[in-house]
Amino acid sequence: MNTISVEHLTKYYQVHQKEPGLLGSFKSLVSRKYYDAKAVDDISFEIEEGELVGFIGPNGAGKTTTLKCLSGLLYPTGGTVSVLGYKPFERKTKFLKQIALVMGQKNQLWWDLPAMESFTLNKEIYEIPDLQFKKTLDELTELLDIKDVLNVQVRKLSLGQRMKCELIAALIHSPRVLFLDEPTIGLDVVMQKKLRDFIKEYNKRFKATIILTSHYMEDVRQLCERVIIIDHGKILYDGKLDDIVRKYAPYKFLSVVLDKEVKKEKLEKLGKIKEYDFPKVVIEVKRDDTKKVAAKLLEDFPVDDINIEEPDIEDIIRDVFSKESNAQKK
Amino acid sequence: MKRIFKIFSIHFQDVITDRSRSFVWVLSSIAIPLIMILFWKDVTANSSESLSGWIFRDFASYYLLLTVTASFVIAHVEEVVAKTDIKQGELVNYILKPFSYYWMKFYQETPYRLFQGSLGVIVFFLVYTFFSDFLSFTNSFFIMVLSLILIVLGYMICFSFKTVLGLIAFWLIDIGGIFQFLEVVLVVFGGFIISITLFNPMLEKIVYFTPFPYMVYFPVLALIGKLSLSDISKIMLLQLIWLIIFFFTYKILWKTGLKKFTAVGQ
Repeated sequence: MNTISVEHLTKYYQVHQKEPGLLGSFKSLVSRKYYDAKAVDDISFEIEEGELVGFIGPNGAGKTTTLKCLSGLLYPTGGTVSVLGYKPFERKTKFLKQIALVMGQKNQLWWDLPAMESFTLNKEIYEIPDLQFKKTLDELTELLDIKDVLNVQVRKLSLGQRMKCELIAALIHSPRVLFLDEPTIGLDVVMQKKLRDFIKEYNKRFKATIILTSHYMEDVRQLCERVIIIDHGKILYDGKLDDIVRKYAPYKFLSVVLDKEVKKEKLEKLGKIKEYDFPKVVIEVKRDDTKKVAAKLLEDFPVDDINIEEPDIEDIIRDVFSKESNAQKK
Repeated sequence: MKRIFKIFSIHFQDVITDRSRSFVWVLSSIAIPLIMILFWKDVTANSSESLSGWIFRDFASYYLLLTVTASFVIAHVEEVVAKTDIKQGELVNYILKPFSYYWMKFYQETPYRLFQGSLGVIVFFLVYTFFSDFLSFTNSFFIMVLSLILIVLGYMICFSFKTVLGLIAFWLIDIGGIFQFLEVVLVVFGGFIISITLFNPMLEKIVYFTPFPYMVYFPVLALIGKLSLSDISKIMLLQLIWLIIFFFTYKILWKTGLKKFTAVGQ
């Protein structure tokens, strides 16, 4: 049995549609029009135990709504969801003791008390035995390097320290499934890296199944072998991150530095010119023709340096979204 | 039990950290009862007869005990439930934890009641020290014990009522007006302005059909010796009935409300 199983999941929100202007406001007092906003529209996927999956998509794509349906925060409009064999929205105690949801912009720590008090509170709520609590706390504080601030009031911690303490509070009961909704949002680059390292290590050490949503491609690139791309509530892609490049970008870039100036028309015979600013030229070529074109360049042109580059994954995903958006408009 | 005690004690720490709020609240809550005592001092001074069986000592004791008892009983959870938890989405922190939201709110609110109530008791003893000649209470120890039970049940009713009130934020966008209106109703029907026995008889009957007099008013009447044992047992039964009503109302609103909750900060 898969840890997470989603079949034809659908979530619609009923949204009130008001006509603009004062007349529209008066009309809405008497009769209101509603329409169904499709946040998630018939998606299906399976996740096995121990997988670390990235959920990516533009704002409003349905990532957070999907996560909320999986964690039991929201009732699905249709379809079936199973996490660890439970229906999440039933919120059974045994289910809740095995999952955790961390939302980057929400916090659960008591503001006026040291973080340690919040951990102790969670210990009692989750009924964690004393020895297990101590062991897990020691492991997490060691991984996050946060031992010295546990007894400081949360209000006096920096954002990075607070985020680390939020993670400990969320993980103190050693959940088997972890939902991370934009965990690195608002953090500086150093803190982002520390958090990524922690998530990777946590996944490896505790074999926890992790679903992560993020706007930062670096989070997904560093952590996730598998990604699910979602847009307008539909899954556009579900597979390995490396395969996105092969599927959506059947080309590579040859970045060339020339010794002597060459006419642009001569280079256009080899491929599509993306950039032409002597001495640097960037040519887009079909993936299968890369070696042949590189050899031709070295043979026929005054080349000082040549690099073969993969297209930037952010650009690829951006193209995927804009193509889908245009298709939706049509 | 040990688990509940630990959860309770952690919340109590938060109250002690925020003690200044409690001090300010107690000081501000003394003003109106003091004004009412002075008012009734003048009224009863100009009248040789009692007012529906009430003399000045009764009024003085009534308003003093109203202040002390209200500090124990009147919960202030509706705004947190409605605005912070439902509207701002902080409910997420509660519904994904294996612990009842109702009882978690209870363990958050009760330490405030106990702390503020204890400050109220200090004020009571200070006043009693200097003005005992003007005060009168029941001399029955048994009735005093029963009064404490009425106070505990009164707190449970108030807490449950305010929690249920907060849950309407699942459906309504702007709830401030409703809270303010019901606060006024609570002040009037809870006997905070004048004793309900001094109301028009028709209005008095209507008030007894609401939960408000069962929160603070009847426990205070018991403490000043205005209720017999038979009255107290009837009131206790009615308090239990109100608790059952609020229990089921909470369950229904919670179940249906969660289906509407979007967890974004509405």
